[in-house]
Amino acid sequence: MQINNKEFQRDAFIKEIYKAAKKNKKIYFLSADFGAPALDAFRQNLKSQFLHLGICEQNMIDFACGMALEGAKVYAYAMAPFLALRCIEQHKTATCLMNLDVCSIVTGIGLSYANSGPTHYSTEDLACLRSLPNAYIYTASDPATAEMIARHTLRIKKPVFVRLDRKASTNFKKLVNKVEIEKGYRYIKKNNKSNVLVISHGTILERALKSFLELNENQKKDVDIIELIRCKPFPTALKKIISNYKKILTIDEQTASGSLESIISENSYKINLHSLSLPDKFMYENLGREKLLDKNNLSIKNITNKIKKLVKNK
Amino acid sequence: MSKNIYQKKAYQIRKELLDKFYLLKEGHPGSVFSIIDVLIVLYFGKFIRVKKNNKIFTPLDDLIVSKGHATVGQYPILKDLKIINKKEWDNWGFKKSILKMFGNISIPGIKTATGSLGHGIGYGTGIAYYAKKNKIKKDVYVVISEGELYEGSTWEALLLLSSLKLDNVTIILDVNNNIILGNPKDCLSLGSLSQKFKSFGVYTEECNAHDFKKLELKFKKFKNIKKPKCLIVNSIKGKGFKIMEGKAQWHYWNPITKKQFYNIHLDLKKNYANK
Repeated sequence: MQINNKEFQRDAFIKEIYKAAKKNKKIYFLSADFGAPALDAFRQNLKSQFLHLGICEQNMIDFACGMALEGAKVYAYAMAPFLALRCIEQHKTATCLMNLDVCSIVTGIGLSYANSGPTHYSTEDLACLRSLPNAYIYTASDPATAEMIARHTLRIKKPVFVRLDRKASTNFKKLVNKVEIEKGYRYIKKNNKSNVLVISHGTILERALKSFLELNENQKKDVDIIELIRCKPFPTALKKIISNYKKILTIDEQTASGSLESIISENSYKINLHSLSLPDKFMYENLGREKLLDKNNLSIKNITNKIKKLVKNK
Repeated sequence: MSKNIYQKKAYQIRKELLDKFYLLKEGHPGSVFSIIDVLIVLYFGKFIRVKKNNKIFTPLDDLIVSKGHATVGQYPILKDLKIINKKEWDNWGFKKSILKMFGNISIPGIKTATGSLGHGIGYGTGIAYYAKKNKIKKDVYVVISEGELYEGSTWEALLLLSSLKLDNVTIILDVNNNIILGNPKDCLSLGSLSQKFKSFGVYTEECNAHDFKKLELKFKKFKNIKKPKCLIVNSIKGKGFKIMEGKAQWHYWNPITKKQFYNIHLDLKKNYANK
């Protein structure tokens, strides 16, 4: 569904799965009472490939794994905090331990459900999911990336977790391509010899870009930005790229422990690493997502200042 | 299948398992021996069919031992049926072997990874649903323990199983009145198990877990019942060995002397081989 050129990532993703499912009867879509406009067409026209599992994420994953053991390609869909954490043990014992072709569509990451409070925030899903061996984890930053990730999931037979945002957004100016999805990362901004590299993923990347625009021309020449599309397995080529920069800044809409900062730290050697992420606390303020981000380390001003400082002290 | 053949298998399989536990000095004999007679009937009674293709034997029906600590009970049976290579069984405890204390899908004939409780019915429902949709003739048997009834995922799965009306799923609920800290009645009572399963729309009957003839009759009857089914089997933990029977501490293997080991063998022979 598109509103003023904005699209929901979930719709962009599901549309692709729906197209494929019309031709491939082995594709099944399971929902734990979670909808989307694009899912309505799937439910209506591919009734025999859609199942409403009730609000029970744990059984949805066990059931999906049973089907996958028989040869089905299964998509399991629910709200991020519940699909990631409520059934983390199912992801471990069933999906990942048996290395099955099940794709979990983890929808509403970060502070997507800002007005619902901490039970609905998904600010630790990355730390939990990425601790699972065999997992493939993708994060979409815009609807076009969600669509391309969907196509990619149809080509791989792995335990996949696709992290989608809740909000509708426009695409970044430069659209992601198939090679970049396969590599697992892409440059959003690239100069010749920048000293500072910003790494981010998800819609918080929008703030990284806005902060970049706040820099003067000289500063801009010293900053590159990479979108990490697949954080697990970590893209091998990226390890070498990271080591070429004097300073790295990670920006992530997750709490710090186990998230993007940890990923980069674990996949690099002797780098000067800085990080901006959410504080280690439950947030109850009913401010809406933008203000919550502003108040909790991730304001454009804060990001801009951090980048400027890194550029200045290079 | 005659009662004598089941009896012979019950002796042989128990003997092999006992020797293996003694060698490995670990395992869950109490849980394995409470359910072993049911496994013997399912496999040797041909409720689980086996296909031979180019000297490779594969089960056509599935058995999921959801109480994963009892998966070991499947190994000597699968070896007898040539699904597991005899070498793997012989090597276990001496050399490299694919066999592990908890089953996983790298072992031929072991359908799922189990060990963590409360997954089996969910897996089984997914397998059975896909088989039905694709018109594959397949029965799925899921062995669960009473301990798994404390896991919420068990009830989530039952709700779905019943809603999908999958008549190709049979749950075998092993009631040995023992969880690690004692009798469930004294820990957190599970109430009427039969009533609970029936209320979920599951056809439910009860049976002695060690009576081969009755087990065989029940499974035969179940094949004609067009609903998801549950057979509650009343078992004795550690059945067949006086030292273990009904004893909570024999959930795990306990160190024993050579003399005790010899006496356990005599006990086994007396109970099974000479009958």
